[in-house]
Amino acid sequence: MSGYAALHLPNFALQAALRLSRREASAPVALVDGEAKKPLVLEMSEAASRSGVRPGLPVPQALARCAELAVLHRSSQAESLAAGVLFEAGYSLSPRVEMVSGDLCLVDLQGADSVSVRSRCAEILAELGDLGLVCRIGLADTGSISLLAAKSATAGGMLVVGEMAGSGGVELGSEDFLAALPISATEASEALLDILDKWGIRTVAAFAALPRAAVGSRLGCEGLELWDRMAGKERRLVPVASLAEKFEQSWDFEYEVDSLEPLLFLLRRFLDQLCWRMRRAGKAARLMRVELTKAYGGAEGLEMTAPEPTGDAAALFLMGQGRLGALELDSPIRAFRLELESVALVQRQFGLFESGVKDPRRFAQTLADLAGIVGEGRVGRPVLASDGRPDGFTLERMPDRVEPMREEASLDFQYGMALRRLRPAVPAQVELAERQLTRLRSGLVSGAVRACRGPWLSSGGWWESAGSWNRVEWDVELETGGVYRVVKSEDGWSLEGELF
Amino acid sequence: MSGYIELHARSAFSFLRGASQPWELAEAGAARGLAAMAVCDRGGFYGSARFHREMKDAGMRAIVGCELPMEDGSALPVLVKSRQGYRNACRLLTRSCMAAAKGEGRVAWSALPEFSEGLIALSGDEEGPLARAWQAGDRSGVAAAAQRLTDCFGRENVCLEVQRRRERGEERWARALRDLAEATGLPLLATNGALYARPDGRATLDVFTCLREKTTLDAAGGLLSRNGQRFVKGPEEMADLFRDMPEAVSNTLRVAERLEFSLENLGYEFPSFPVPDGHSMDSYLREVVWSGARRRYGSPSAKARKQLRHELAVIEKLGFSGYFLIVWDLVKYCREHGIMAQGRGSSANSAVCFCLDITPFDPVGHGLLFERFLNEERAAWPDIDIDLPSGDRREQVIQEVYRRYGRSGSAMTANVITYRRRSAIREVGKVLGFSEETLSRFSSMYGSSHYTPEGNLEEQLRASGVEKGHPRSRVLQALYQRVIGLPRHLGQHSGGMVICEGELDSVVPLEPASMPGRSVTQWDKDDCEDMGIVKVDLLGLGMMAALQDSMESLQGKGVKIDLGSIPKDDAATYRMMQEADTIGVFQIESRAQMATLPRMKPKTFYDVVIEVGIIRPGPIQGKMVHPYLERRAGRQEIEYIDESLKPVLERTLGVALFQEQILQVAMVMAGFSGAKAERLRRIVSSFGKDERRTNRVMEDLISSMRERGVAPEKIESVIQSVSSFAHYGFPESHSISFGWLAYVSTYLKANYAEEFYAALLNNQPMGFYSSATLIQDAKRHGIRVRPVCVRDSAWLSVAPERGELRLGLRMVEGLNKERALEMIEARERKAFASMGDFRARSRFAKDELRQLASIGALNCLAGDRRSALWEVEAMLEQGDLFAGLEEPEATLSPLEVMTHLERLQADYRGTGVTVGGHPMRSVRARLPNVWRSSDLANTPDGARVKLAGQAICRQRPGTAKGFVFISLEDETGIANVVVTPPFFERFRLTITEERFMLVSGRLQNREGVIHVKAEKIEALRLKELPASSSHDFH
Repeated sequence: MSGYAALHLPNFALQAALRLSRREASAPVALVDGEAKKPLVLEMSEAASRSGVRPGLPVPQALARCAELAVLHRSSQAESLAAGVLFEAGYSLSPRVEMVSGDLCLVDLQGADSVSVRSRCAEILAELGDLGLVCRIGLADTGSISLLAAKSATAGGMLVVGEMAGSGGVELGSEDFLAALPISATEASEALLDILDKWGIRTVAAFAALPRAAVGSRLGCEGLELWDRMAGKERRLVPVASLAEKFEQSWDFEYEVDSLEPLLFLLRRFLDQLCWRMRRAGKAARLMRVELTKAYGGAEGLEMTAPEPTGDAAALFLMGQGRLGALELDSPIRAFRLELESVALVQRQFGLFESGVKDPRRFAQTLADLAGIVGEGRVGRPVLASDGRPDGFTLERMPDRVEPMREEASLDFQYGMALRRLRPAVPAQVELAERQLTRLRSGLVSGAVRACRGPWLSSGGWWESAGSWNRVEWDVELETGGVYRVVKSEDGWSLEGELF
Repeated sequence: MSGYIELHARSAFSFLRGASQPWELAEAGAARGLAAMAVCDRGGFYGSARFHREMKDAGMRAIVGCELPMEDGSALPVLVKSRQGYRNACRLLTRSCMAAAKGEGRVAWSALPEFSEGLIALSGDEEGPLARAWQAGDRSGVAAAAQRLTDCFGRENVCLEVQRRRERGEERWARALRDLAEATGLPLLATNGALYARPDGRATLDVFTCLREKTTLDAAGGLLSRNGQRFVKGPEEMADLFRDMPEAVSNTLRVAERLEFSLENLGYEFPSFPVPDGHSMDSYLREVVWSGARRRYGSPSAKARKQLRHELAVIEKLGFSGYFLIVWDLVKYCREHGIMAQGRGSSANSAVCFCLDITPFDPVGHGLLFERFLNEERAAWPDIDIDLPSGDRREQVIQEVYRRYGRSGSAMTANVITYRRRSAIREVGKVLGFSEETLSRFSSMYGSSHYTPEGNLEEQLRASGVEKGHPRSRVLQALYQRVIGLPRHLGQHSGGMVICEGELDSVVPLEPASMPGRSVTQWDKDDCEDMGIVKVDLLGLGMMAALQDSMESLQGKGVKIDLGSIPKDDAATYRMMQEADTIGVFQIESRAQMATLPRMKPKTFYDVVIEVGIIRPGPIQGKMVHPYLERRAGRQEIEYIDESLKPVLERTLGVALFQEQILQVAMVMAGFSGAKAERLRRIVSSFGKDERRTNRVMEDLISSMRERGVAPEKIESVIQSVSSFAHYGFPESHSISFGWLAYVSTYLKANYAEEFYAALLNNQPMGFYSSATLIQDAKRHGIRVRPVCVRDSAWLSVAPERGELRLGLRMVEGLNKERALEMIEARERKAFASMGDFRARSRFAKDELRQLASIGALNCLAGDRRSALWEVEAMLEQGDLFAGLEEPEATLSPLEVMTHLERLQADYRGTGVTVGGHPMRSVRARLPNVWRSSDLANTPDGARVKLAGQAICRQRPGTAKGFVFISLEDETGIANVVVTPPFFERFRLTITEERFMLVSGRLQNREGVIHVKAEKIEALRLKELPASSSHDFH
């Protein structure tokens, strides 16, 4: 057969955000761009629309019209995930797939069987529905009409236009279809639509009724192109696309998460999507890797090997749920990453002047083993905290490759005595007289103070109820010898280290 | 004497580099036992005037200094020893500011030697030149920087500044400075570099750091303070910090002793006026005044002569003759150049000002009080404000002042923009990482500074999306409270100008204003007044521009009319006022005024004066509005607090309405002199800034009345009047000036409406109502309003003949003025014969042509809007090679003509107005059982009605106890809706956000005053209805 299929996700940004928000699509919800100076409603659910919420309304006005309205922020992450799903769905029809935009993909059906195309389309609608996405499909002889048909189909349904009419889906003759189609549904630029609006041209049929030559002389190439497309005169070439090889998804939380439920929600959503992709690609998951990035630095990684390779999202979810539930974290989570591995080895080519890890998988396994010995959250690459907190650092994930140093570290500012830091610090008691330390007692050293320097005051994070810190430091020389650093903080006095 | 003096602090007037107001620093200094302190604000003396005043009140010495922003990025603190040093610093700062864009002025090192005399330089804090070299690891650079300072200022005028803030690592720098002091012989000086008054100011400073560096607290890292030690410290703390360097502390006293300069002796001189030979300024003023008196009075009465002699004597005694001559000369310049000018405010109390043509009304005849304007006991300079037409004419006068006194002899006064509700929440919230959406929501719902919203801050934040338990909600609220009222940046006052004999830039540093051709002082008008710097306010009034335009247009048609010739007894004018038909008119077009006019029923000019003065918070708070109207209507007896007050209050029926009357009440009842009474008024009207002084003068008033045997209940009435009116009441002189403009504008509307409306449209934005409402009002007055047309429109709106108004091309959104004027020129040479001809002889861009076509401006050539749009698209762009060639035969437009609604939408999009019917007309058929505004007059009082219309005005006056007033416009006029506080909270978002509303409520229709008390308010959701702009409180 020849023809085109277009797959469209209506209210794309809203669907994408809703899918990962745990809100019901039936509730009154509006989507705004959280970064805009004056956020306006971009899209809204049906329930919100019934209450009078419209695109372009400022949020307060939308709330005035619908007091129960929930406001979601637009999420590029969520949209990227949803667009990936759409692409995979289109690919399952034919490898000639083009993502026209995040919410719309076009498939060239040349060579495909029309009956199997229609039944596959019906399956796609159901599968995407299971993944939380409402899709609509348009089938037509030309790419442009199929795109328009997709946008005109009912939500969750299919519209077949023109000679492709036969069986399955709503069928419509080309002329009837175009007569009812609003001109705003075309791909025309805003400038062109503005001119047509000023002309009072509201439908594609009215536009097509204008003399072609007059359209060309007034609206230029863009106008002519649009006219030709509406008249079905174009032949669109869709190149062959390729699928992503990796099966991974990640998510940065807008607000830090400190409970299990949101993590499990995401885990399920991601597994559903990745397993669906794997099944389409004829693969199964052998290993599942979860990485949780902590708000106060560091990351928590989990690796789980499936008893046998599987594409069963539910089974993988149970496995992940158990491990996540057993985790004890000392920090809220700010990002989540899931990877499903269906290949055993990762081959890597070494560069001449770089060092790297020969086998990242095994390296990751080794790190996981270490974490099992020393404890979760204690393996990683330390990075100094930028807030000036003494000994403040965060743990970063170990990289697969270590870049060579570009310049030597400067030693110019290495001065004073070196500090051998005690980790953890040793609790201490002190005696003071006339604002100077006179005696120190601790489990490590005790004695009268011969001389002391300080106090030095430092504090930070005052805007955080949980993250603020406040320190008073002294350097003391004891009568019995030795110079030590003594600190008073929220936890009381402690011996922090010895100076050499 | 205290053992330490802080010689390097910064106030919040360092704009994001200091976190406390000058008064807070002074208060902290006093609390910690400092005898003196230096505030060295970054880039100038921004906070010095206020700091000086606060320190003086606290009995401490304010040392003058600043931080010079150097070209290499360092900040060099300098302290002023002498007046010469102050002059040098001012001129140095002025020179560096004026040579760069606003805010980017830097001082060149090479410029320092020329301006160093009279200054002592400190080496600075971590941003100082020495510390910067140290941080860069350039040890020899430190010594070189010190040498550079001694080369510029001299060895005896340089100090090495040591700060200890208990930060680890600072000792190395302190030791280095000590070594340098030993090597060079320069003295060490201990400072704390105070950036806030108390330790809790650290948080505010960190917020400001983030704002300055455009980052958030979470991301700022090492940019933030390491601890909170930069507060004002006392001698004991500093002695303890520097116990190993006591000389650094004691040197602060030695240095302070050498800093003799204070802002008390600025060296400011008011310019002298060049008088003819044989005259002094006093004698010349006398000559000009008496000459004016003969012109104004004809033959001045004995009373007038006596008043003039008295005023001239006071003026001469106080040495103010030059000031009056300068203002007279400026007003003369305006008259000679055809610019309307009128003195306002308290100057209208002066017969001298009247004879000098500065003010338009005879204060002797009106019984006004000169002491309200000037008196011997208060030796401050007089304050004369001149109202001018806004726009180019006013700018011409401002530039004339610059021309006369030079760029360094005159400048605009500054206006300190402080953090208000909206800006405080936005900026603090951003720094704390709150989302843009949350902050926008708060701004939209609670951000207005014009009224106090319901609920506390926590509740408001919750309503904006910040949950109660949000981890940063509390700190947001706390920071918001700290930041509110702090200076944010320096703007320019709209009309205040200061002038100086000689160089103004030796008295206060000047900076370029954002507007080209203007310079600004670093002090606002209050600071200038405190420092004894004379100011003249040149204020722009849109209405004066409109009046001048109207009169010039009429004069061009042979009508003899000017401000002086307008009769004060025009019946049509008073009738218009009595009917509250005052949309577009000066001062009496607001809802409150329109509700009072039918009750007041002005019949004389003085009635208008009272009308202007009566709708003010003063009379309203003093509960004086209704009693006056009740007495006027004969429903209440006219009585006086005391019979002796009859001469004072007779003209206002026994009710005190004006500030002058309050003064006279104090003079009559308590025996106060005019000067003492004026002092009483000033102190009480200082908005409670100093409660102690207010209480003292009130006690004085009470005891004086008691001594004169005044009965207690009368004392009580007098006190109540004084308290209320002193705060808000208008000066009668001001009411007279404004009343005259109100009268003249109503006169023009009543007699030359088309000219008046044209002038109003040409001077937008101004007034209460949008152009759209003005046009609808014009149509209701029978004026034929013609749309914009390329064949007939000028750039401005004009009245081509009686009863007709043609909208001008300037009303077209996005139309270039230059191209429009060229088109008009081309048209005047030869009329446009066709669209093609029009295109060939005009230079409009495609989108301008589309705009003209869509609003119907091309109908004269194309027939209808759609045909014009069709043809316009076929036209090539200007500059196209083929643009001048003959077109092939044009295609007839296949497009349908616009419907009425489409035309309305196009009109509002393209011009913001329509000459067609009001949008409500097109939907009226869908609103059965809904009253039109014109129906209300014939509806009985108390009836339940339903109204619909566009909200064109929403007010929530501070004195109205939370009531909201909405003006709803429909195709027949404007209806007024009153919303009680509980209903406002219930329907708040609908009221503040919706453009079209449906209101149900009960009608009040009494004594010609009509409004609807709302019981239910809904949005009228007709998405296709276009709307004009509205005048709102939020």
